[in-house]
Formats: sequence, C-alpha cells, structure tokens
Amino acid sequence: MHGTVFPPIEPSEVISTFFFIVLLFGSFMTVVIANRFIPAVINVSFVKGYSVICLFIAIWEMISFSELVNPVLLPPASRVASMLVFLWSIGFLQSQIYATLYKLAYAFSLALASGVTLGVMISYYSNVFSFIESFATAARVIPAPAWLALSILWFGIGSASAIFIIWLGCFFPIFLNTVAGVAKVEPVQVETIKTFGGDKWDVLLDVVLPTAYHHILTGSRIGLGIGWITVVTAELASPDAGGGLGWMIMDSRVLLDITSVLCGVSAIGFLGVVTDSLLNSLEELVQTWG
Amino acid sequence: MLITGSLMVLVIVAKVTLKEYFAKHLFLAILAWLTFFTLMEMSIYLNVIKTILLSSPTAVLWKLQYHLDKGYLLINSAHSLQRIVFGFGLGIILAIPFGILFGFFNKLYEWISPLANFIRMVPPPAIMPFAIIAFGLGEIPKIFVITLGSFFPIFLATIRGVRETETIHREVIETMGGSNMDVLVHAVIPSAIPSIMTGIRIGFGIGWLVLISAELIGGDSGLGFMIQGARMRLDMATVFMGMGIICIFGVIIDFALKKMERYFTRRKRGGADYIYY
Repeated sequence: MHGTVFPPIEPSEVISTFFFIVLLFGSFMTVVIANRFIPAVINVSFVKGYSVICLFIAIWEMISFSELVNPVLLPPASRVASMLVFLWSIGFLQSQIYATLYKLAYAFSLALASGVTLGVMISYYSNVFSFIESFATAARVIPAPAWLALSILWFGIGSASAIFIIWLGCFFPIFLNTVAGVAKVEPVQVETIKTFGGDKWDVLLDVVLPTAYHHILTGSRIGLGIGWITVVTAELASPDAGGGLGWMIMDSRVLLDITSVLCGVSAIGFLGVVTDSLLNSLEELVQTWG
Repeated sequence: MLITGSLMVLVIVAKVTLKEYFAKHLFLAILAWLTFFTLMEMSIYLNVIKTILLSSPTAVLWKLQYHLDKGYLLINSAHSLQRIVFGFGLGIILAIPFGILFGFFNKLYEWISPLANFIRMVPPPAIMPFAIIAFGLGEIPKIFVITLGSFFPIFLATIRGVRETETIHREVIETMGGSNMDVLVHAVIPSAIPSIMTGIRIGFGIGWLVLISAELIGGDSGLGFMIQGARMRLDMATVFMGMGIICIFGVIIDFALKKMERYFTRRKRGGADYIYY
C-alpha cells in the first residue's frame, strides 16, 4: 500500500464539464420527479437540500472551468468525480476507506463500551469519582492527537497506535456525559424499585439507563465527531498509522495532486455524514421504544 | 522523588493543621496526583520502565527549565495562543450572527442544512493540506481550520437556542406592536444566550483539538510542533512537558469558559444541561 504512485489519469477518462453539468442537472431532475412518486422517501426538504448541493458543485465547476482560480489549485468537480470513479475502479479507494473505518469502528465501539460501563460504575461509587475527576479533566483537555508520540512508542507503528488515540478522543465525551446522565437519576425512582424488591440490576436497567440514554447518545455523537478528527489527524501526522484516507490525502498533497486530496476530503465528508446519520437514526429508534 | 516526598509530608501536615479548609476530595485529589508522580518517578528511577516510554517528573522539570531559559517555550506557547485567539474569535464572530439568522428564518436553514452537515463532518485537519496549498504557508491556513472547527458547534448551538424561544414571548412583543427587531433583541437573543455559551465551550474544545492537530501536521511553531519535533528526536521529556503545558492552558481556558457558562445559565429552568466534549 505504501509508496503507491497514482497512475496519471488519462484525458479520455475525464468527464467533460458539459457532460458533468448535464449529469448534475439530470440527477436533480430525477430527484424532483421522484418527489412526485415517492414523497415518503424523497420529501420536499430533501429536494431543497439536494438543489443547494447541486448548485454548490455547479458553481465550483464553473469557477474552475473558467479559470477564475488556477485549476491546479482548485481542480474542477468533474475531474474530482472522474478521479473518484477511477480510484474506486482500481480498488484503491475501498482499501483506504476500509483502513480508516476499521480503526474508527474498533476504537469507537471500545470507547462506547468502556465509557458507558465506567461512567455507570463511577457514578455508583461517587466517592471515588471525586478524585478521578481531576485526572479526567487533565486528560480531557489534552487533545487526543497530542498523545500520538507516546502512543506510537507504547503500541508500535501500525493501526494499534492510532486506535489508542481515537479511543482516547471518543472515550471522554461518552464517559463524562454518562456520568452527567446518571447524576440525573431521581432517588425516588430508585427507592421505588428497591421497595418493590428489585435488585441492583433492576435499578440499572429500569431507571439508570433509561434516564441516562439521552446523555449517552449526545456524548457518543460528540465522541464520533472527535473520533473522525482524531483518526484523520493520526493518519495525516504519521504515515505509520496503517494507511487510510488521511494518509491518502497527505500522500497526494506531497505529490501536489489536489484532485486526489479533494477525493479524500469528499470521501471523508460522505462517510462522516453516513455515520452521523446512523447514530441519529439510532437515537430516534431508541426514542420510539422509550 | 525527594521533592514529591517532601510535598506529600507537607500536604499531610497541612491536612492535619488546616482541617476545615481542606475538603475531603481535594485532599484525596492531591494525594492521588502525588502518588501518580511518585510512581512515575520511581518506575524510571528503579529502571522498571525504559526512559524511551516514560519520563520522570524531574527530567520533565529540567527540560522545562531548559526550554524556559532558551525562550523556546515562550515563543511556542505565544504562537499557539495567538492562533487559538484569532481562530476561535473569528469562529465566534461568524457563528453567532449566522446562527441567529438561520435559527430565526427556519425555512432558510432547511435549504442549506445538508451542505452544512457535509462540511461539518469533514474533519478540519483534513482540509489542512488543501488550505496550505490554497492560502500558502504561514498563519492563515491554521487560523482557517481552527475557525472551521469551532464554527459549527457554536452555529448549531445558536440555532438550537433561537428555536427554544418561547412562542408566548414572541407573541407578547408582537401584540404590543413590536417589530421583528424588537422580537430579536428582547426575546430571541436572551433565550439563546445559555445555549450559545454551551456552544462556545464545546467550540473551544474542538478548536483546541484542531489547533494541536494542525500544528502536528503542518506546523513551523507552536506547542503541537514542539511535541512533533521532540517525537522525531525521541526526546520523551519534552513530549511530556509539551503535553503538560497544553494541559495547563486547556484547563485554565476550559475553567474560565465553564464559569462563564454557569453564570449565563444560572436562571435557566431546571438548571443547565451540561454537555461535555
């Protein structure tokens, strides 16, 4: 994977500006027509948002095509699109996406499990938290990427060092918000469960988690955002962090291949939106159950 | 080790003599930190852990003195603080008016929200290589990415705050013959302020994270650059020192913002919902 030189893109492979604009307009019209037939899936707000995105891409294309900005510094959207298609067709993009998502998913699920468990545990023994709080504050305000130097020496080169700092970045929002959520539990509810003969597990499942889930989900959304920043920073700052989209951006930047830089940026943005909306729909799902 | 030991004795003496001034958990916290530093010192002193993996507090203090003497520390912290002040300040200045605008005109936000979401989910450090090429070397790309990082938490929190305006307040002003401007000044902004303060605190956290990341990736000065340079030289004491300095600055600014948030949310019904970043 390392040291891969991007094969230069053939002129015949580049989607022409005219064709690209037609494609953009066509996709917009498809969405508008689809709105007529399946309004449950493609609603009016979707069409509005999609039209602004199309407009944004079209303006970008125009600026670049008319050479208002140097096309080497800001390549046209059509070129970025054709590069995306090309990188996908040779399987390069998939392997970078896999490398990034693997690290993020590994660290995020670890952080979710450890953050919620520790958060609930610490709240049960709140005397202990009083002095752990100062440690947590100190560790929280040091941004996770600053631990990269130590992480590489502790865990060696490769994905493990990146996973450690992503875990660190995701952990504190989840952990501290869980603690804040559990603090909102009303003693009356706990007493009620105990009066009716419930044990600790009943209190946890029937009172503590339903009260704290909103805070936990808020924490995990913030944690996911910080996790994305951290994973990309780890890959950008250290070529030994196991490759990934951030590494692809850095590698292309060194080659002054801005087209691939923008490919990486748009892939990260797209995946970020997908993961964020997954968490969002999870939140809605839990809300309908609750 | 001697220092930590004597400090420990001092704290215990102070605990016994000044009993009423020492809260229980403060004492525990100081004791825990001293234990932590003593363990670090001992593990290096007794060769349990190699100095390449961990650094002893005394070595860090020597390094601190060296960097203070040479003036490196002052320059690096000044550059980092300058960037965070400009980037974060610009973020606040841009985010609050835009937030109020898009919160006030709900229909307008519907149009841009997918694009805004997309830009929000792109980590600012990923823009950094592009920003360097677009804006050249120097301060502007760093300030740009910090602004980008701190913009969205404040922007979204402002929108949320504006939407929390109670309809009755708005309607009362309209009934009394107030204009849109009156609604904005007397109803919308006062009810948005608690939410804006939460956004500012979270925005600082993200801005601080982006600052260090940007300096790690493409810096020529600053605390993140100091750490990255020391990592290349395997100078662990400087890495720990840099992290300590980052921690101290972060704690101070975070504490100040937290106090400010508490002050502005003191009258919110049911208390403030404190969100950690």
